[in-house]
Amino acid sequence: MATLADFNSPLLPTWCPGCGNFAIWTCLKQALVEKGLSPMDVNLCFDIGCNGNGADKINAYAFKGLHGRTIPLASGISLGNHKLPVIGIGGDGGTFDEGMAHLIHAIRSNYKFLFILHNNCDFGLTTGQATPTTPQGQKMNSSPYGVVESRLNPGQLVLASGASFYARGFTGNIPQLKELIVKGLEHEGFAFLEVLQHCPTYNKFQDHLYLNSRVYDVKTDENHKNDRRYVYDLVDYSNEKIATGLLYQDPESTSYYSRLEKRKGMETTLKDEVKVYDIAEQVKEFI
Amino acid sequence: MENRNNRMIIKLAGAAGQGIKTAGLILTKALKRSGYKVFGYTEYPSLIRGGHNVFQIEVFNSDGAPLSKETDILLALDKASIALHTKELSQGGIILYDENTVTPEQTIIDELKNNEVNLVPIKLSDLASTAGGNALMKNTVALGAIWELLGLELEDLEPLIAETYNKTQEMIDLNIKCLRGGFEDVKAKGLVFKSNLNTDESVKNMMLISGNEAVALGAIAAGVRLYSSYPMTPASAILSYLAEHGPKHGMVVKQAEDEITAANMVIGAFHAGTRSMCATSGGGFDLMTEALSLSGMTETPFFCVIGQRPGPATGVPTWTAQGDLDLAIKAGHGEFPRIVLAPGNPAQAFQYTADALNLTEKYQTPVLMLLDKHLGESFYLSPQFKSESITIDRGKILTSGDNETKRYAPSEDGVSARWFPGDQISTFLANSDEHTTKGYSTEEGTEISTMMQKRLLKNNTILSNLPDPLIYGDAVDAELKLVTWGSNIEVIKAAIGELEKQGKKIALMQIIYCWPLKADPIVSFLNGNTQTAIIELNATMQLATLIKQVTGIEFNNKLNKFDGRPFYIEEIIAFLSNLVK
Ligand SMILES: Cc1ncc(C[n+]2csc(CCOP(=O)(O)OP(=O)(O)O)c2C)c(N)n1
Ligand code: SF4
Repeated sequence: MATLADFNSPLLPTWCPGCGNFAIWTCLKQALVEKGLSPMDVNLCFDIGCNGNGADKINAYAFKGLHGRTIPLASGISLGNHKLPVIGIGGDGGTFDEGMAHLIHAIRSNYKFLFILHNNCDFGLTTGQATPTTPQGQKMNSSPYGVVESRLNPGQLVLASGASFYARGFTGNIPQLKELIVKGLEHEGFAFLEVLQHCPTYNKFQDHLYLNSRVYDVKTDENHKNDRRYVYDLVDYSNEKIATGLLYQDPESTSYYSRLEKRKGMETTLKDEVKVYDIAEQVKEFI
Repeated sequence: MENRNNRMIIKLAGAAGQGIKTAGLILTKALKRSGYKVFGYTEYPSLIRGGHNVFQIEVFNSDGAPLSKETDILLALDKASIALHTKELSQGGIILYDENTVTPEQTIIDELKNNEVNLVPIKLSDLASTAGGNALMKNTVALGAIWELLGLELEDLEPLIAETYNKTQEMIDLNIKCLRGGFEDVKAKGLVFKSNLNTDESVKNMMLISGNEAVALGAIAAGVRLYSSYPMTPASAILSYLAEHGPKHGMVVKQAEDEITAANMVIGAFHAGTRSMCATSGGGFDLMTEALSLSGMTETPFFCVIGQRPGPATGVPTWTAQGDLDLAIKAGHGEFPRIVLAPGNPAQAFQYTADALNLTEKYQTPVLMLLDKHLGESFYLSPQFKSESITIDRGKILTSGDNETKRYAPSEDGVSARWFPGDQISTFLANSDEHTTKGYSTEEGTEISTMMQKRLLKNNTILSNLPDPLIYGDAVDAELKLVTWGSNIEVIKAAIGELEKQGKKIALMQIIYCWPLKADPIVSFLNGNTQTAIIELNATMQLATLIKQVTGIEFNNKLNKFDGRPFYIEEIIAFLSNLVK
């Protein structure tokens, strides 16, 4: 069995003191250990950003791809070897700007992998510009007179797009976040885990105290319903309280790979199948 | 009525939606099955209905695959088809048209008479309805008419009708009745079109196949397991062929949401340890260029087919060009090795698809293969493809190792051994950032330059291992040395065949591997005082410029055009005849 130490990289994190990325990093390692996975049993996919600067701070097979393109990269990996646990990691900038189309289509396709959104409501690495999740009117680097655009709601976006799994964690609650990562890894399809991530350097409008005083775990709410429309309203920005936990999961979710007619009953992965194929049947049709 | 040389050209023309392509393919294949050498070429606008469609069939004796400007037999399914093609008809040629729906203008009738072209009205619509068919089936009636005109046996055509309209027995019977209706009508009229073309037993067993279909078969045979693409003419047919036939072999075929996705998925799939590829046209490829650079940096294989069409921007979507050579060679930011190759016919497209997949895995760097609309969507005779001709070489792959095994370890040829996530060997990070041998990010000066040199070292390895360009004919006593690339090759071969009969000696070099470009074979081919010439289908002579850059050699003569049309044999013959007097 792998231990937490097995996932340690010789490199130390370079995040700002108090950054929420530390918590996600820790939870990720804990969740992998809890799932009985070793560093060589998984593939992590990182975006470019402060989140992606964690790519070499954890020991595991990994791919740090292009900004905003984590999702298609991870989709290719998980189709290439559907038995390999794959985790995609991205920021709110990369995911909702460059990568918006990929997100919506990954939800439609329901590829089997976990996507962890580091939602710090800003571009961290490029020094604090606004992203689609920055509140309208907020003054940011490059938005000195306040953000002009309206604020995008990740939960509502993915639910409306048909997400089969939507969970929300918070970098102030490590046990819960670890549990959500585990649940996401177990999901039969595209698991979207939004993490409300502290960015003490650039996000002053939604600091630890702000979040801590508003979050609650839906586990503690006996009225919570595993219902897409209910959760859509629940996560509306107008609500004072911020619901966290596994907010919605389609119990009947089927992954893209499992839906492929001609792959049904096949035991091998695409990785095992690179060989010469006989095309004699196809050639006949051209004669 | 007869034709004057050893080619016969049949043109089927009509409005989009009249089933021109289906009829053209039936006729081309039936002629092939009767032992005639054939080539099928399509012209159509970027519209679904209302535009003008043409299927041109060349029947010939020579090598290569000619494409002629002239037409011997024109089937005109609508009025526009007569006006549009009048000027192309050869002396003694013939126009069959639907008497029920088309009345030619008097001026055109006079013009055709002057040129000794025969106008033959046939009641195609009436004959179709007499047979119990609908208006669309008049093209089947026309096929019967043409078949009798050529003096061929119905038994050779009927099976193809049955294979094509195979939805129900009723459909088959109806179409056969229509076919016979047209056949009998021409027989009763006593019309014949004589040609002096030979048949050849060996042709009967050949394939009639397009370049796109050849790429698709190459992909299946060579073990592509994930194909991901976004539709774009003229590469869409690869996606549609694979979507139907790939899954029969377990291939996963994904119609992606855009080309950025397609390219990143392909890289992801290779990283996971399988084989993958995508195809697009220039505009779609532009969207892939960041991913191309990612493949170069992370040394993850990547293979993309680019079906060229005239640009810039949306350009002329359903026509042809060779304007994206520079793009393929230069696309992507930063410096990294790559291979760019260009097959010239389906047999090469099949074989080089497999070779390209080997190369991208062996050298762990992107490989781009250029096709164009002409090669991708025209129908060529080809020897039967055999899976046995395919070998798979995945390069250096480790099956064991320990913690100290480094994914980007330096090596003499620049290629490090690779392995895949899930393998119990040693973790690594495939990193878009400049990185260490483990893949960890680095900003340290010597590490940056060492890794750059390591990757670029592969350029030398590739260059010394790539095959030489192909040479047709004897360069030693040639009066002219000609260089070309891509789909021009077949029509040039046919033109040279005609000129050889007049005793002219021309040696032809086909550049297949355009990048890296091997200088030595080109220098030794062009060496001497013989006239040299280059032919390419673009405005800026991209290959000529590249050859000059690599060898210093400038060609004495150049032939190019950029009107969306492929080269016609008449143009090539005129150009070459001028040079070899
Ligand atoms: C194509 C491209 N455009 C822009 C950038 C520059 N860039 C790097 S990180 C980043 C934003 C990161 O913000 P986010 O995705 O929210 O991640 P965070 O840094 O907050 O974790 C940008 C714009 C890039 N690397 N690539
Ligand atoms: S800028 Fe924000 S997200 Fe980036 S490391 Fe610092 S605190 Fe973390």
